[in-house]
Amino acid sequence: MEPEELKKYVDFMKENGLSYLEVRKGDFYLILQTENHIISEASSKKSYIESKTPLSNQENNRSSDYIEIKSPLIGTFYRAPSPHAPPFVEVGSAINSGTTLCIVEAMKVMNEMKSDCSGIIRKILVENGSPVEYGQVLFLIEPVARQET
Amino acid sequence: MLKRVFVANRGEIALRIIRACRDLGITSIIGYSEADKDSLPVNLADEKICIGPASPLESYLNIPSILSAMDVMHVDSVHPGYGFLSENPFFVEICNSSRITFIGPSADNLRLMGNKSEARRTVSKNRLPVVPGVDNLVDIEDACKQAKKIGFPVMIKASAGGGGRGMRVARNQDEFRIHWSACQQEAKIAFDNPSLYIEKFIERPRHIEIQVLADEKGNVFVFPERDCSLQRRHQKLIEETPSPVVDVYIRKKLQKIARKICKVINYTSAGTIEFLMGGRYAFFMEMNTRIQVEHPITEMITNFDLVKSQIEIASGEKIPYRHNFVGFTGHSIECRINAEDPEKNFLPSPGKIKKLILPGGPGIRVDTHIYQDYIIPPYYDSLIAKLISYGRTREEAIARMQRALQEMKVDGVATTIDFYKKVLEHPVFQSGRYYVGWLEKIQEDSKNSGKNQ
Repeated sequence: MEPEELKKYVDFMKENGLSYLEVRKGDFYLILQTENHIISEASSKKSYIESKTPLSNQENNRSSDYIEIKSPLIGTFYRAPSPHAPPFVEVGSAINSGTTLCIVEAMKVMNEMKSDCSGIIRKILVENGSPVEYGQVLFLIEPVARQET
Repeated sequence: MLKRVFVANRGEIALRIIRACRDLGITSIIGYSEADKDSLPVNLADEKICIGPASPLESYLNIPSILSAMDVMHVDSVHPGYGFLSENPFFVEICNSSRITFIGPSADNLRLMGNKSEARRTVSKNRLPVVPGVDNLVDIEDACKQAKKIGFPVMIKASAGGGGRGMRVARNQDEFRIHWSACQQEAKIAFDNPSLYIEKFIERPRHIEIQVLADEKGNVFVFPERDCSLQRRHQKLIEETPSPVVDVYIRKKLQKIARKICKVINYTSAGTIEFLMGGRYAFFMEMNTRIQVEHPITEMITNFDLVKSQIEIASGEKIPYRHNFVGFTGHSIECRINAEDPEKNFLPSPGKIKKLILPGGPGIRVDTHIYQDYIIPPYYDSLIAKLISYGRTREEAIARMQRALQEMKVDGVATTIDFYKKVLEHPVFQSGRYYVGWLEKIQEDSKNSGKNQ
């Protein structure tokens, strides 16, 4: 990353009074944090800045340290590839970017939802077979460095 | 009767549909974007489901998303409101194959009347008067020749357009050539169809429209006319019914034409036939195949509930009214209150409503989704409230509207309230002798006189 690019992010933080900034662009992942950032503070300030990152954790609603995986579709949530198969993941499963987490079925099309982060699944918030709406939180992931799976 | 209606819209019309459902005792399910999470209709609907982010393309216009939502919520019908998917024949067909009742006309109705050139052709074929013009022109040389034949000035319009979009006036050949190319480009981009037609431009016309309601048994009801000549950039701002310049003979004539059109095309549900009037001559301009923004003024003078009627018609019921030419009493006016700044060329003014006082009292109806502390999102149109007055006479309706405009306070954003106060005081409005283009003219005049001071 060029110094100019880093400066852009730092300036952005200063201009908007941010104490924490997380940027993801494909494989690129950057965290900038000022000295007075308090990790447990719930930051629900909505930002109308469009970005092309995957929808699932656009806004880190940091009520805890967990990353929220949100549904980008409306449909029915399934934990396994078929009714009698074992679920893709369980609470405690270690996952990496690209791990299939679940299926959201929309109009008879089975859409596999893949994770875009690495970590441990700490909470599964939807029951198998329940309807989910756009933006609904499905999983809470505790982020850690790339896992051996 | 339908049981579970999906409301595929937002703002005041979504609330209107929810209220009709409530009156009928049926369930309303609203599909909303993330930006509308805290809106009034979302909080008042019986059930709700988020269908996408703020952007209309990804939410209110997102057919796959809306289909999924309707599937997951087990709805049996959908009301599209106005705008968005309300006149999309593809959406209607998908609903049909999913066995979801579309509360509105058929896909064929939408396709026919949605193409403004085809609509004119159909009406003209049935020996009904249309605005003189030529349809389906592609070649600029041919178009220029036709324009000369019709006689300048002419209006260039997009065949797939409508609602005031994709149109320009050309006063001579040179202007024609310039505007023709521009219109073609705009039409290609906005409607994915560069096909244009031209109409004789009628000087100082009045925009007069007839509300229709048709059930599936073939009964067609026509309502008293609405005068929607007070526009800015082809967007209606103030509407009234009946029109101050329409007498009982003209009314009957227009209503008969409207009825004939509906019967010829087998129309069902609510719709509006729009005419352009020059003097005592009236010409078919286009048909709107949806419930319209200004429907409340017709409801006030006829005591009909048009949205409820749409749901009843879609349920297969007959309209329980004896006369095809619906009777009326009194006069009604509507002012569309927009979150726009008239001082800044009507620039949209989204933001938080810090203080809200809504008018009330005799003869006042307010259709709105705003509330104290509501944040008007920047992604959608600027209509925040419809202020409707009713009186036994036109004078009483005007006086009540003036009272209501005086009472209404929306602090925190700019609105067009003060602008309407000035219009209603103007002697030309009071005399009823305004025309399409008059509102823009006095706006220009007041801007220029302001500058000269």
